[in-house]
Amino acid sequence: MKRPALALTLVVASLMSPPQAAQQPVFRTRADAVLVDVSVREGNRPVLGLLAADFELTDNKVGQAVRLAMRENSAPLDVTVVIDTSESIDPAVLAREAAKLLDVRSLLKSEDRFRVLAFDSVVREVTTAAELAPAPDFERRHTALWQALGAVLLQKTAPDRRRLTLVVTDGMDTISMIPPELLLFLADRSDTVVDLVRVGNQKWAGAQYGGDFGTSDIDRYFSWLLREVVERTGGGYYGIPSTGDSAEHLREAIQEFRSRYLLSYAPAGVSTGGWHEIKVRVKKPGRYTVVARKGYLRH
Amino acid sequence: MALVAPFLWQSSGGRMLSRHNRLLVPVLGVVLSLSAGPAPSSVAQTAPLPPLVQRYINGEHGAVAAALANELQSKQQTSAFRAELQRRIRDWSAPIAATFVLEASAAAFPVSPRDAVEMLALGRSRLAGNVTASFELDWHLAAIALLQGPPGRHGSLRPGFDNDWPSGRLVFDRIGLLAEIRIARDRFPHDARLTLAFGIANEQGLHQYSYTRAVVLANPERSRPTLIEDGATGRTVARVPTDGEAPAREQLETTVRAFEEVAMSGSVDLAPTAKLHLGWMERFRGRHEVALRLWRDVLETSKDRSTRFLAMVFSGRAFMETARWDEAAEMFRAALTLEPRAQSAAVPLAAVLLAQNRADDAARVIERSLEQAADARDPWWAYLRGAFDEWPNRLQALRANLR
Repeated sequence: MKRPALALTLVVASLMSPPQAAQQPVFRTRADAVLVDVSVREGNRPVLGLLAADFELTDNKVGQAVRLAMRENSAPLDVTVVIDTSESIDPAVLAREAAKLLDVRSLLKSEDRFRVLAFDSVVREVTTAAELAPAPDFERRHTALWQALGAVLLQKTAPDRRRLTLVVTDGMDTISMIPPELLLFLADRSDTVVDLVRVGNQKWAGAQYGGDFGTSDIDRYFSWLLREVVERTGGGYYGIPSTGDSAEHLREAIQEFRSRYLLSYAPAGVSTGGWHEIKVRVKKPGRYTVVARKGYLRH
Repeated sequence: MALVAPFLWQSSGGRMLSRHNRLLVPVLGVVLSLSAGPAPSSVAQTAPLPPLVQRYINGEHGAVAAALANELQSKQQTSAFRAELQRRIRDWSAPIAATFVLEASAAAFPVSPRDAVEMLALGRSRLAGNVTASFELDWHLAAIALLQGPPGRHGSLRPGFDNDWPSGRLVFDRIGLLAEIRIARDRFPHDARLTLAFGIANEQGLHQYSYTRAVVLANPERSRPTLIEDGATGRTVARVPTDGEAPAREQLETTVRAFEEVAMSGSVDLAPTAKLHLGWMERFRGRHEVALRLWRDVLETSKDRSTRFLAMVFSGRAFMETARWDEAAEMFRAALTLEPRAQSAAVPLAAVLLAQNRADDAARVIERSLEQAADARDPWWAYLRGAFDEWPNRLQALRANLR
């Protein structure tokens, strides 16, 4: 049984339906071109210097002629860090991680942009570490993780820039109005690459959330869904212990992101509507790990 | 100490002190010595209040709680004191007992939230018919507030309640609370407020199973659990429960019945709230048209801002789920005119705009929402997690009514 959960909920079924009056593709394109961020690694080392001819890309199993829209290291970055400041976060861990994450700004180039969002019951933009302190009111301390992810997936990337989003959270959603399955719909249409770092929380070793947080069927489903969402954007899902260093992950993610290739192609030989599965590989000999978004939805 | 023995004697119905009672003597001795007034000769409802409670009523909550906390050093003492208090408290007037349990006791000894609501629910039943309407309402709403959520770090009222994980603790407590509310409902089956409280508490107990519920209701015939497998490895990553495993279905039906009863009660005050909740339950059952009709009724009859906002957001959500994008956008926009900073309306509106291929508009809605988020207040929070804002005010009203 492959991904049957997608068909199970009414929510998903309706949200995946195309709108009645389709106009232009929502996925980021230039004219009729589709853009695909591609990471190529050999072991832990990014592979640089590849040419368009080194890539093989299929759109719904049909080979496409690709060109390099941007070479690695050539495009300015928009880096967004999204930090969970909800009830569950240990204030000491939050203070430590926030300071380090904000510090990562210094690694960026002058033409890059750095933005910090925080979320508890609401998603908000912050400019100083002080604004990351836990909210004074209890009602503001819930976890709107779905809405935070929804917000970053709904933002747009400026032309000729590339956007990387890192979400740091220790938990699952407790308050969002939007259903989590909506994130799949948004991820298929988003032009940001989302990495999600889930920080361990010692409190959850206890009997929180019905005594089964982390192991219940529902939690496992949500974990699977989160992983699916970020992978659809071409990003990754990482777990680190409560003593871990999410800023270290961000530093590596930025470095890795800079080394990514931005491929462009005009779909040929495929229907214009519906889901387009994308597969990318490197033709040159070697043991490469290639990461790219899984596809896009085109109307 | 001489004052203590008659007190214990009276309260234990004239029986000789048990072994447990004897353990209580030093504890109560200290507590009662805090009292400035004479010890009561009786704890009957018509007699003067016990000094401990009197001090509490006088506003010396901190002193009473501290005395209890200092004195109850061992589990044995705590257990004995609790047993004794529970015996006596049944003879106190119900509102005083309930409020005492809610406030003074929480910092000091383990009267659980469940006990507190039991006092409120059962005490309310005793009081029915002989208290003023406003007091009854305050008391009742305090019970609802307690059911809906802990005071959290509002701080001062019940500091012992949220010592670790307020929302998590409440998940467990709520199950017990429902049993107590049910007792009161059985005694007063036609009390719409109690029925509404029951429904709301029941509904909030359901939320942790919301995914399970959605799955079960979407496919009630399913007899085997669904396995979600990793496409690459074939490894099972999650297992979605079957009907039989999901505890939510029966609870959902019970909740629906409670809301239906109140919605049909004709109560001008309560029916819109009941319909709002009933619609949300119907949506979970996949009956979107029924839900939308209920919310239309709410919008025609309710003037309450939060209720109207929620009816709009819920309608938007139902339209969104049935791919009626234009109507969904209209509802979310209307909701944002009432609460411009509420992300429960802004984020789904942006998603709908994206579905309409209006990505630029969607991004603008998100950016505006992020800018306005600092002071956001969202009625959805209270609906889903509890009316926290109401909680301290209701208790203040209770306290004032006791004087």
